[in-house]
Amino acid sequence: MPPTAFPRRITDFRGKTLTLKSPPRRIVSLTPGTTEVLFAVGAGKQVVGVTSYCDYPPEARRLPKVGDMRTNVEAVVALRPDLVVADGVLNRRFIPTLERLKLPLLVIAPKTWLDVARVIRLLGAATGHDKQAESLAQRFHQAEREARSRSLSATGPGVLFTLNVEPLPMWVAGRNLFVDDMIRLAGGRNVAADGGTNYYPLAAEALLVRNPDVIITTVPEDRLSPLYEHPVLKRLKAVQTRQVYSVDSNLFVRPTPRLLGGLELLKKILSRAQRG
Amino acid sequence: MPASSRRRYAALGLLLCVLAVVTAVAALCLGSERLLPSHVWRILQEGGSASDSASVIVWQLRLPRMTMAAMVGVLLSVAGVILQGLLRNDLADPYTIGVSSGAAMGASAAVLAGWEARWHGFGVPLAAFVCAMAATALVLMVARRGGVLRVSVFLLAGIVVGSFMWSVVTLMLTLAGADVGRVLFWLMGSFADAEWTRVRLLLPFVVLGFVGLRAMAYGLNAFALGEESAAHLGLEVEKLKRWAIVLAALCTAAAVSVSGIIGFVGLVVPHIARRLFGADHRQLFWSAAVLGAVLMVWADTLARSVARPAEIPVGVITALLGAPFFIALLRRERLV
Repeated sequence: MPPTAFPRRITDFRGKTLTLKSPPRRIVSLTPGTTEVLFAVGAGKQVVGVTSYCDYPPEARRLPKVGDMRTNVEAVVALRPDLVVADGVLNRRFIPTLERLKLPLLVIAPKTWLDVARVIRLLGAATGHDKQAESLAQRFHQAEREARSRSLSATGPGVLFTLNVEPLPMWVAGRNLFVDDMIRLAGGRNVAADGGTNYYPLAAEALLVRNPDVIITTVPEDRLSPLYEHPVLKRLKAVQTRQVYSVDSNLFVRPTPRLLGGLELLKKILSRAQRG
Repeated sequence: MPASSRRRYAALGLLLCVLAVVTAVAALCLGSERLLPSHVWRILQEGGSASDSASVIVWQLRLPRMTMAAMVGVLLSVAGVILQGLLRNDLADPYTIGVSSGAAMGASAAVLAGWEARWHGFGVPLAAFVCAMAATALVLMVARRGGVLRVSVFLLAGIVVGSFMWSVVTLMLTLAGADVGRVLFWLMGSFADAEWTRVRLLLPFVVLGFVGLRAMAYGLNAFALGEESAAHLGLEVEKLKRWAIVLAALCTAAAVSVSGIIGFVGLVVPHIARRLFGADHRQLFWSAAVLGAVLMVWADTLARSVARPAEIPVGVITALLGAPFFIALLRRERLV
């Protein structure tokens, strides 16, 4: 079957199958991440509805809005979509309603680095942009292969990825997150991986014992002063050696091709940290 | 006081002291990292200047945290004793009078406005304290007419003002989107950001609550006979009501603003203390304080031990353990 042949059957992350008779022309995207992927695979012109948080790429901002993280189902229906793309976690409260209304729905639920490649392929296939999607997805596999080829080298610097610095506890990245994979792919070791999945509140004493070499945070640089003043936090190795980096959260928390940029940034940070 | 009850109080007092010591040892040894009591003892003797991680954990994390949990336990229990005595209602707790909802509103607004790092981390506690006192003032205004505070109206007004403010909190959380996890963690109560500076800030309130309740003990005992009887005994009823409420509100607001909303301690501890020591406020004021401190420190120790290395909000522990315990207590008293 040539890649552009429609109708085609698409199986989503729930294992449900959707048959698309022709390439969809009226796509509604229910999260910023799915919007970014749709634009990245070249399906931007087919998107007719996004959320008010969809800020990337800039063209997406001009599209009609169907709510924020809470989907306005009426607005979705009013756009007469021929494809609705939802996230199984972020949109979970609205998926039963969308199903009940028999909207053509694809649900993604990426947790790992390679899941993101799967999302890109899935949305590429659903919109008829297989080629562009495949080459993007390959870059995710490439990063994985590169990491594997040098995985025999000694364990890299201990990295903590946190969403806040104060008030304690810090909400840190555990397992089952792209960030956890990205730390590994960049040659680091996620010091909080053993404590839980997703983002979770890490006890300060556990943080002290794990003593990361590098702290990556989505807190802007001008709000990091508590790190240097707190009686416990200021003793952390990363704080004392000034290895604390503020990063753009969109490069690390959205399951999109921009994670590749996040990975490059992470590699740069870690190689700088290792040089000391 | 007859000699038999004096002996009983002495025995119970001794028991509480032993309990407090055991609690302190457990709080310093248990947590995300486990330390042996002998190790902790050595660290305590060395003083707080050593910089190895065990020493920092004991001196900079566990000691301030344990102290703060104990203080908040005292504050909430004292406020609970005052309000249950004053309102002559077993269901009254420090949060009945709208303090918690006011604090929750202030804190959520401050978190969402990005004040977490303001004023050396005191932005959120300060907003919580101010809004908590404002909420109590509002309840008092509603319940007072012609210089008389009507106790039944006071309870109702507290509940109404409380629900109103909770809906504002819910509205803010709905509109906020992000940050919700952090706001919720605060709302459910935590001692994770305990530091010595906060302990020092809290100390005057603990002293005030403890001394204030002792000073009111006689008045609250008289009040138990009913408002009118208390007045016939020569008690200045309105003055007592006013000061008791102000004291309870100050204690609760101080506690809530540093630790978030921790339920059940203020409700349950006065009941336990009354079962052990009787209804005399001259015994209740210290026994409830010690019990409150012990319970709160245990709750916090569990909060940082059971899911290690993650933490759970301490309010979850107090509610999980407090609710079944309270039901058992009620059933033994054949109240339900």
